[in-house]
Order: sequence, then C-alpha cells, then structure tokens
Amino acid sequence: MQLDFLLNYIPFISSFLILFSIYLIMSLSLNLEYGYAGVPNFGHVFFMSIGAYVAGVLTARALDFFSGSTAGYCSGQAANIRGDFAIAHPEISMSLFVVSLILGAIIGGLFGYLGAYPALRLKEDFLAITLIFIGEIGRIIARNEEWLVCGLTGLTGVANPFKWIENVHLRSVIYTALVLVFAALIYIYTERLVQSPYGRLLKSIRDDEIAAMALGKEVPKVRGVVLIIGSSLAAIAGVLRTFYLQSVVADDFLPLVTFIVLSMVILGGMANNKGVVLGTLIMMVLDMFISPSFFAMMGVIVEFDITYLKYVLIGVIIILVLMFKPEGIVPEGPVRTPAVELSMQVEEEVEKAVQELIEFKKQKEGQSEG
Amino acid sequence: MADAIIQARGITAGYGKAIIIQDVNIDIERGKITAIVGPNGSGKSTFLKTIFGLTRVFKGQIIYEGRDITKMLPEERARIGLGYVPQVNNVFPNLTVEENLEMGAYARTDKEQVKADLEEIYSVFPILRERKKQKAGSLSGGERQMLAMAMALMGKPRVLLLDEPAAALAPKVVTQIFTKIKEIVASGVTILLVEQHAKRALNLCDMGYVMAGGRVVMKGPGKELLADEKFVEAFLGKR
Amino acid sequence: MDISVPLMNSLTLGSLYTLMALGLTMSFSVTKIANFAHAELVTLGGYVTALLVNWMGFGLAESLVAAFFASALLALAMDELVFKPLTRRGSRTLYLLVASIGIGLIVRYILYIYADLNGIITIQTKADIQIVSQVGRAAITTMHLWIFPVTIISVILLHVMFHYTKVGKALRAMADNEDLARVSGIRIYRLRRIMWVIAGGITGVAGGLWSAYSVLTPEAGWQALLRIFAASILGGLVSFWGTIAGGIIIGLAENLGISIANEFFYVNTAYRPLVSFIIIVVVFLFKPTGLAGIDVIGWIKRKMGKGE
Repeated sequence: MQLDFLLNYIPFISSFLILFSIYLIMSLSLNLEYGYAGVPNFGHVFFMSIGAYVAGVLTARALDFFSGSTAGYCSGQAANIRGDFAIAHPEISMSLFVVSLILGAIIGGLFGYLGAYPALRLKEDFLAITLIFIGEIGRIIARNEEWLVCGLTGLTGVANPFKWIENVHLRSVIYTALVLVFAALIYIYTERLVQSPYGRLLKSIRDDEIAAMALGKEVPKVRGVVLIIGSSLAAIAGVLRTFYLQSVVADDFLPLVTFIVLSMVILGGMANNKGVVLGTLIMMVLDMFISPSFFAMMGVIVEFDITYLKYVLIGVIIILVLMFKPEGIVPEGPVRTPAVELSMQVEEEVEKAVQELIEFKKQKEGQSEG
Repeated sequence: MADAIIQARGITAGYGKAIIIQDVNIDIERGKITAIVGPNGSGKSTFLKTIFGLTRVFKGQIIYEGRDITKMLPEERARIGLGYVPQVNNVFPNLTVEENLEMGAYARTDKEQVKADLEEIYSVFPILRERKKQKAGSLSGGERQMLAMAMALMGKPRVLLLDEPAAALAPKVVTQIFTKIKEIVASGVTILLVEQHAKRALNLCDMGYVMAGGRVVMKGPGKELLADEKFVEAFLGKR
Repeated sequence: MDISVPLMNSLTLGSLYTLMALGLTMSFSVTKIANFAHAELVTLGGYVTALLVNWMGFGLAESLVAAFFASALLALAMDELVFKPLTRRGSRTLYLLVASIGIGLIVRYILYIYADLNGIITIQTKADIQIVSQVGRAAITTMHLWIFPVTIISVILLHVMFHYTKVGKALRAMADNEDLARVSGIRIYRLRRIMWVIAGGITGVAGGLWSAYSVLTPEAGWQALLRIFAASILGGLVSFWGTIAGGIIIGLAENLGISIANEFFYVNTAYRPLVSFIIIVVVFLFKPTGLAGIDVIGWIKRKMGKGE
C-alpha cells in the first residue's frame, strides 16, 4: 500500500530530477563561459540543440537501418518500428546512446570552435547580440529541414537506451540515476577546472585588461577553449534530453531556454558553481509550482496559460538580482570588505596573477625555443 | 592666506573601488595660474577630473567660492563657472567645429552675447572659422587642441582646468598654446594646469604643486621649485 | 518573373524596419545599451493601435499618437527603473544588455497574459484598406499611403531635430562623448529622458503601422528584432542615414532578394531571417562600423581612451 503510493510519485520525481540535471549541465557550462571566462554565450541553447539533433538523427537513422525499416523517416509507423527494435536489441539501443553522447559532445565542441571565431574578435556586447541570434537562426534552419528532425512535427521514436527494461518504474529510475551521475560528474569536472590555475587565468582575463594584455595571444586561445568545452557540455545536455523525451522538435530550442539558464546563473551567483546549483534548483522548483498541473492540483483556475507567468517571473528575477544583489545568492569571493581593503586585495591578486602569467608565458616561450 | 577660488581638502579619490589619489590638499588662487606637475601616473589628471566630479571621491571636500561642491553633478559645476579641457577626447568628433563651439556655450542663455563671443573666438582662432563646417574629427592635433580650448572658453568659465594642453604637439603649436594661456589669465580667468613637462609649466605658473604616487609631495611658487635642488634632482635630473 | 509584388513588399517592410530601427540606433548611440527590450516597444505600439481602433472605434491617426505615447512611456520606465540606476552604479554595458533581456521577458509575457485573457493572442488593426492604384501586379493601398508618408516625415523631423535644434545637437554630442557633454554643462539625464521618449515613441508608431499591415502576436516585436538589429548594425549602430539605408536594404533582401533566390535557386523563403543574420555577422566581423564607418571609429577610440 505504502509502496504503491510511492510508486505513483516516481514519474513525477524522476522527471523533476532529470530536468534539473539537464538544466544544471546547461547552467554549469554557461557559468564556465560567462561567469568565469566572461564570454557571453547567450546562444547556449543552440549548442544544446546540436547535441539533441545528433542524438536524434543518429539513433533514428541507425535504428531504421538495423531494423531494415521502410517506413518514412518522419512517420509514426517508423517510430513504432524503432521502439520495437530497440526493445528487442538492448545492446544496439544502449550502444547508440553511448555513441550519441560521444559524437554529440564532439560535434557540439566543433560548433563551439566555430562560434569561437567571432568570439575572439568581437566586443562582448556585439558577441552577445550575435550569439543570441545564432540560437534563433539554428532553430529556423532546423524546423525547415525535414531530413534533420522532421521540421515542425519533430522526430519521434528516438528510443531510450533502457526501453528494453519492462518495468516502467525501474526503467525511469535507472535513466534518472544515469542522468544525475552525468550532472554530478560535470559538476566535479567544471569545479576542478575553475579551481585549477587555468580557472584563475580565466578570471584574470575576465577582470583585468592588463593581465589580458600581458597574456597577449593567449587570451583568444583561452576563450576559444572555454567555448569548446562549454558547447560540448551543452551538447551533452541536449543528448540526454533527447533520450529522455525520446523525441526532438526544433521549436523546443527557443532563445528563451538560454534566458532561463542565464537566470539560474545570475540568481545563483556568477563564477560560483555551488551558487549555480542552488540557482538551478530554485528555478526548477519555481518551474514546478508555476505549472498548469500544479495549479490544477491546487484547484486554482486561471484564465490564461500559466507558463506566461513563469516567464514574467524569470524576467523579474533577472532584474531584481542585477539591481539589488548583483553577486547572486552565493557571491563569488569571500566576505566583502570595505572599499579600500578590497581594492588593495584586488590589486594584489591581480598583480600576482599577472606575474604568474608572465612567468607562465616565459616558460612556454622558453620551451618552444628549447 | 591668499584668496583661493577652489580649495581641495584632503581628497582621496579614484574609480570604482580603486584609489588613485590620496589626501590631496591644493589651493587654486583666484586670477593666477596654478600648475600641477609630476610623472606619468602620479594622479594629476585624476585630480583634475575630481574637481569636475568625474571620479569617485572617497574622502575630502572640494570648496568652490566657499561652497562645498563635492557631491555636485559635473554638468552643474559647468554651469557655476568651471571649465575643463581634457587631455584626449576633448572635442565631439561627429559634430562640426561650429556645433562644437555651440555645445561649449550650451548652458548659456545670453544668445546675443554668445554670438558675439563666437565671432571673437573666430578672430582669435582664425583657423576655426575656416573649418567651421568641417567635422571636428577631421581636424589635426593642434587644431583640435585649439578647438577644445575655444569650446571651454565659450562657456565663459571663471576657472579653467587644462589637462596637458601641449602634449604631443609640435613645438611651434606649443608656444602658441602657452601664449593663449597667458592671454586667458590676463582676461581674469583662473587657470589650473596639469603638465608633465615640469620646466615649461613651472616657468609659467604662479604656484606649483608636485604630485607623485597619488600624493602632493612638494609645493611652492613655480620659480622657487625650479631653483630647489631637491626638486631638480628628483624630477629634472633624470632628463 | 514579375517583381512588382516583392518590390512593393520590400519597400513597405523596409520602411517599417527603418522606423523601428531608428529608435534602437538612437538609444544605442546615446546610452550604449544593446536594448533587447526594444522589441516590446514595437509590440506595445502595435497592440495599443489595434485595441483602440478595433475596440474603441478610434481612427488610425489618433491611435498612432496613442501608440507613440504608450511606447514612449514604456521606454522611459525601462530607463528610469532599470537602466539608469544600473548605469549610475557603473555597470558595464553587457550587464545592461542582460537587464534588457529581463525587461523584455516581463513586458512580453505580461502582454501575453493580457492577450490570452482577452482572446487577442493574434490581432490585426481593422483599418479600412482600399486599393488606390496598381503598379504591375502590386496594389498600392491606403495602408501604403500611411506607411510611406509617416516614415518619410519621421525621418525628416528627426533629421531637423538632430541638426537644427539645440537638444538634437546636444544628443549627438552626448552620443559622441558623454563626459565631455557633461563638462559642457549638458544635463545628460534630462536629455536622456527626451531621447527615450522620442526613440520609444517612433518605435511605437512603427509597431502601430505594422499592426495594420499584418497580424501581430505578443511575440511580433521579438520576431522583428533580428531585422531591427540588422538594420541598425548596418548603420554602425550610431548612424542615422546608415540605419535608413540598412532598413531598406533588409527589406529588399528579405523580399525581393529571397523571391529572386527562390525563383532561380529554389531557396526556401522560410530562410528569410538568415539574410539579416548573415548581415549582422559579416558587419560585426569585417566592418563593425557599418555603412557609416567614420561614426564608430571615434566612438571606439573614445572607448579605449577612457581606460587611460
């Protein structure tokens, strides 16, 4: 009795945790790019969509090929055949998941590298403008290309790697656990990265022009690497999302998604991964409460689509945090000191960083000469 | 104590969180030329900007004609008799020369007098009349400096702050500019001059201040400073 | 192929984009904010016009005046409540861009809620449109007799303001160098308010005209924003005439250009927005000064000069 009661909640809990994890990967990677390195990749959703398309196209095409399906790529019949085939062949279905992840990450990183080209040259505001519109353009192209993810209707039948497990609850528990593990690993990875000397280098480039100048040609390279890593992580989030929904629709990847992720980063605290986890959690809980299903459950009837209210709130949160708590709920550095002390502290740190960088550069030059 | 039109008392100022100048006390005497000299990065320019309210003041006061103007907006300071010629970016490049001069007189309401002053400026700086329909961005360095000074004069200031008016100009133009400065003082305007070229400035000024590392390290009448062994050794000896 | 219809569309939409982009160019050149909430000024103007005409029976002219004031007020509110306080605190412009995204979300989705409650998620101003004349297969309607004159008059009025009035010249001075403007005694906050009223207002009028020309949704402005930015960016984000040229070029490329490409190269017409995007990327990468190169060079120099 008790257990049945719990089982009823599994779909709800697993969907919350999966979406949380996917958004967490997105916010951590945006935080790496924007929070730590100061590269305003507001086209983050585009790189997520790349991963999602890779997973969708690869898996669907491969399942069609292996099953010898003659049904049209976008037909419902094809989706059914793919599902049945995946259930019958767990090994193929799971390998496709692994290959999708690897390929998604690589292609996502490749697009990040392409995005890095303007990123190295443009002033940050211009870069932000360009990247915001990149997201929109990617979506417009994808929705008009049937061969990719079936245009407006979307591609279906991208079988979950655990579709062969008969128990629905067990299946979703396993996939949830897997996605959570991915999010945790990516958290650890980004945290290690930003704690390393490389992380300090990122921050010093972001904060200090002198340091950036001392580095000379290193700056574009560093920014490029960050964009590659960030994009490839976003693509992984896209892959995980496709296998969770077992479908891809181009119109899901609106610039709005980037803005939601951005609100998570800003709310949590830029350049602070712990804060970003908290920010993501808060926004996801908000998302859960301000939803048609929750309102219906509470018996509240509103005459308009509740999701609109959610987006209003996201806007309000962005503005309020920027205006009254620009450092977010968990600030980047230690406790704030009075202006003078802080300025001296900052100066010292910057100087130290610059020294380190110059040394680092000299060493490198020495190596290349020797 | 001499009659000071502006007094800076214990000014500590900078940008954002960074402090550039500390505990600076400088008196600017009415109708005289006061010069601030010192090496690059000594905070001279920052001090000038501080008088005009373009920096963040952490501590201290600026007194103008007995009135505390520390918190006044720059545009309001311009309206009570302060004029300022920055070292760089001191003209509006996309406005014509004439429009630049009009902007210099923006706050004035005496239209007729403005017209007369414009004519006078043109007779003092004939080159500006020639170029009046040209965009200021197309002027040469020297012409630009002339325009910048003319703009400030169009505002009829009582105190004029000049930031390195002769920097990066040909020697002939420098002489011209310094002659103009003398003329301006003779017309009753008080001048605060910031110069890196110490000898030139101290020869011209009535009172000199030496800044280094964001502080005032020496002060005295210009000629006396030039004769001071310690000063010569520290600032001129290197040259 | 008959080009009269796409040519007519090009000119009509080009005029509208121009009108929408002029406000963005004005606000960017004076405040340096890449204002993504500019989209909402268009949408609001469109909805105000449509509601007044359709529900209250107002004439188009009065409704456009109302749209002017509605969007002007919104623009002013954005600045007073968000941009100005942030700017005074010394926020970098990227920060302000993020804030504008926030403002955009708030306004757009409040509009969505209002529209959903009133069943007007899609709306079009019921203007009395009659065919006046025919050029080839393209009809010139009363709508065109609104759009072209309003655009031309706005452009002339703005030109007169910028070059022959004290306020206009001071605005140009402020766009050139804000600190120097202050030093000259220009009260920049007052001027900034005037700027937002004019920039917001003409954008609202553009939205109003658009609402009579085609169907709007609360997202209309956002969808037009790419074109608006492209037009403005073609003008180097600061140039008045560059923006006008930009608007017309985008109009031509998106209609006449795509029609030709579709006819001869089978390019999908749905790829229309791609034109604007390519323009943005190419201009940013290879000529960030846009069509009017001189304007921005000074600005960038000043930007670098400030660091000293």
